[in-house]
Amino acid sequence: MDIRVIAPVTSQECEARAFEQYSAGARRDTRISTVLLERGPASIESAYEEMLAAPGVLAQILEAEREGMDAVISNCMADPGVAAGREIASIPVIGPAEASMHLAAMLGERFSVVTVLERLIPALRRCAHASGLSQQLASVRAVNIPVLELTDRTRAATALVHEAIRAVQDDGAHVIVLGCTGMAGLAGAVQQGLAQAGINDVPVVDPAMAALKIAEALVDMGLSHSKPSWTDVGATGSGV
Amino acid sequence: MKIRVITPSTMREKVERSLEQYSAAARSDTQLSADVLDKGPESVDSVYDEAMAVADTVKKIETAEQEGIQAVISNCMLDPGVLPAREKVSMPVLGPAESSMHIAAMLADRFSVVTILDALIPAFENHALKLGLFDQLASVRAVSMRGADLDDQERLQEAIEEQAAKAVEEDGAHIIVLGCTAMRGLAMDVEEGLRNRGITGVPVIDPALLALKLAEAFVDMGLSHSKLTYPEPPQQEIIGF
Repeated sequence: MDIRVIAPVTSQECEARAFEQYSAGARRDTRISTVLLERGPASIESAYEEMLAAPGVLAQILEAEREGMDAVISNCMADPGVAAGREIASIPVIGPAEASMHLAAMLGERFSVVTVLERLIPALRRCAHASGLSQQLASVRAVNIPVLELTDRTRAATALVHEAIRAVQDDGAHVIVLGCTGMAGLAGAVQQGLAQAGINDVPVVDPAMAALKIAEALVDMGLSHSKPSWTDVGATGSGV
Repeated sequence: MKIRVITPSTMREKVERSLEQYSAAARSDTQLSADVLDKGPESVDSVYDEAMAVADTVKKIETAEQEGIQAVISNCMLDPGVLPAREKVSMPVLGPAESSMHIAAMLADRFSVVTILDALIPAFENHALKLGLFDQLASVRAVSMRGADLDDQERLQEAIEEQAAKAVEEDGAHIIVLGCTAMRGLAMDVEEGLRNRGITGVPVIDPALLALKLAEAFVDMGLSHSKLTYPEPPQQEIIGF
């Protein structure tokens, strides 16, 4: 199957990293392709940037369907353009936040999200509410590292482990969700860090991989979003 | 990967039948095996039947893990034995109801479950409530056919279509979850039936196959259930098992 990953930013480095990470997690019969935006923010760390990314994401969703992609992922934990994208496409449009929160809710009683910046905490809480998972959300925490600085993997992993331990010990989390797709590939290191602190068998969900695996599952099943929930607006691409 | 389907029923023919059912959606690198119960009901048509099925289902799941199986599915829409088994084993244990309700909530604003008997409606309502997805549950409807009578596929499909159409038109459902794992292979046909009735864009989920897809996804990701939620039971003698 063909899955298109949209890096909803203008940073080529983000796109290259997404290609590498998704290709590593994809099944042998899954072909990953990635695109980025021509116009938009370098990274998404606010509702403002999310909104500025959305038009480009929507154009790429239309393009992905036109090219015959089987599913498309908006690769950011703000799920930018996902709801609107479902109104203009009939292939599955997947957001990492929604996908990872549902998987987390299946894996344990309560989950915590550990994201980049404090300012994103309300948005992630709202995503849990909108997904109907408020009761399962133990907390949202932040490592206070901006997205573009996550390239320092050691620093990111250390900070994530620190917050994940606090999420388990202070907030009652039973599952950890990494709260930024820029943290893709760090789930193993965080799980190991938790184990070293004596916290065993707490699953750590990588949101990019959750989105990919849900996309593969939906394509296998021939399932996509309900049209009565996201009624088609008949966009042809000229507007976006 | 190695995935085992355990049908909580004592009917041996369900081994072959479930293998055939799940093979339809299994990946080429997925090795399926199947088992049924030594002790328990013929089919699970009530909460009582479920209770009678749980103990042996859990034992079968323990055996599966000892045999090197990587994920297990309890092949019944009441998810019998799923929660207790998660305490005892470390591999993913999937239930069709939990799997399909979460994905339904992702794919639509509100979902309806179309199950076999009216008597099971409260059980599904409780399940959605327990999962935190009650707000997204539009309704639970039943075709009023017992698990053992589902072999009349034509009559079954017609009955499901009728209830699914009512779920959409009267209850506001935007997606349909088939409410019994014995409603095998009918999702696409029901979706088409709805289209023929003028109801388009409403997906129909086969819960058994969805559980399989999520099992494959969890194994791919190296994820299993949190041991903080499902801690290992204390060691003690349990007489009779």
